[in-house]
Amino acid sequence: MNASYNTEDTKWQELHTALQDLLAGYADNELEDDEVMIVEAHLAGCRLCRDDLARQFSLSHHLSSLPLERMSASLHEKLDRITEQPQNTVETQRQTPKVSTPARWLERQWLKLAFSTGGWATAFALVVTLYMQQIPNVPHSNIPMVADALSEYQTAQQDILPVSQQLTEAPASWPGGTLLSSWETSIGGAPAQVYAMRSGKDIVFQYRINESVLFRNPEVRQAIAQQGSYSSEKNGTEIRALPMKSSGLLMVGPRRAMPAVNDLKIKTI
Amino acid sequence: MSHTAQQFQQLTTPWRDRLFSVAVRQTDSRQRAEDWVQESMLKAWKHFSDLKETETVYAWLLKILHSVIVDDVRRESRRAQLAPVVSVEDEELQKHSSSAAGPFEELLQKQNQEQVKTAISTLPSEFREVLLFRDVEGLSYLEISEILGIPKGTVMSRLSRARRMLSSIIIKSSNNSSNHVRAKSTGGMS
Ligand SMILES: [Zn+2]
Repeated sequence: MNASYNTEDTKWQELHTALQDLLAGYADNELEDDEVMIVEAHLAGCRLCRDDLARQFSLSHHLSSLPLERMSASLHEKLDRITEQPQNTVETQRQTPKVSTPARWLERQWLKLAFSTGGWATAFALVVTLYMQQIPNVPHSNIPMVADALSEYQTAQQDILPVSQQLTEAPASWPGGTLLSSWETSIGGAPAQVYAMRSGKDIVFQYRINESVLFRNPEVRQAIAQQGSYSSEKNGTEIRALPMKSSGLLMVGPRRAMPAVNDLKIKTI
Repeated sequence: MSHTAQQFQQLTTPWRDRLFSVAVRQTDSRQRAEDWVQESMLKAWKHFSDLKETETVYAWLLKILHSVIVDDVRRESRRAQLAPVVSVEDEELQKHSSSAAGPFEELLQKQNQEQVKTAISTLPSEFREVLLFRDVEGLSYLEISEILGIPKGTVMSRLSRARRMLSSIIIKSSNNSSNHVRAKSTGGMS
């Protein structure tokens, strides 16, 4: 049975080659349990790998006692004075930690969501995306429902949002917009539902609000009567309000992340 | 001195010489190593606010140093180094009696620091770096993977190969010290 012997031999050779990349991990106790078993089974029958492993141990141990090299005294002095150099403007961000907290909050939301849908690879890609986002300064508004929506959006920047409830479908959808999280809130004194959406590299909130709340403000009422929707923008943050069949839709987000009106698909339930 | 500056100095000063040690083993010029360290520390100071609470200061400094070195070396030359793979079959290695466990240990004991340093310096940079981080600086595979931005499995394979290459360089140079010491990257060629 020459043929089968050769197949076995090829397999052994393949394993022998592949395991050579794991020998450091074996020496350093960095392998998973199943990998340890495979390596040990192979080592028992392979002198070349055993010798290599022994050399890895010796070398690693030997290198750990290499003496510290010291920099010159003049460099030490220069480094003592390095803090006289101006720091980058990120210093302002340190005083307003808002900028980094929503990313952390959203990251947690993402991880939960991604785990149930796309697994780790997705989660990782999403976290990277979220760390890149910058939520602009949230403006104030004298329209109560807008002020409420903005304040909720701002709360997201302070990391004290409620943890996501079950994900239902958001009232509005658009290409590239993904629902992250949803929870109940109150807008204009009436119950409302928030939907945190990822849109590009940013987060857009949409709210399903009470119809009477939507039409309460004359400015909003007039804009809807004339153009079908109300919208305003300040400091890069856009607010949009439009009627749905029996409720109102309010959207808040960075202007660059807001979907074009034509891209919006609204579930009119 | 401002509170921030004081905090920065407190956190980073203990690591200066270790950072320099890592730098100086990656170049044959002490001056260049000092330049790298100075640039790294300046970057660290400028971006001090980026240091995360969960991050160890030393790993953070090494990450900065790594990027400074990569930038500098890339600026200087673009020679693409082929990753030499020394397998345990390396015939030339097998010929040497000191490739076995006991004799190799003895051989290592006889090496002086200069010889070891020279041997390390002949490794291709991406292998040398992993070897320095793990064996000299004692970092975990996870820390190394985060510093270099590569998967843990890659840390492991590079380290396996780096140690194999270094062993082979030391063994070969010991037996023909009159010859050119530089390791040949592929096994069996001489
Ligand atoms: Zn083997």
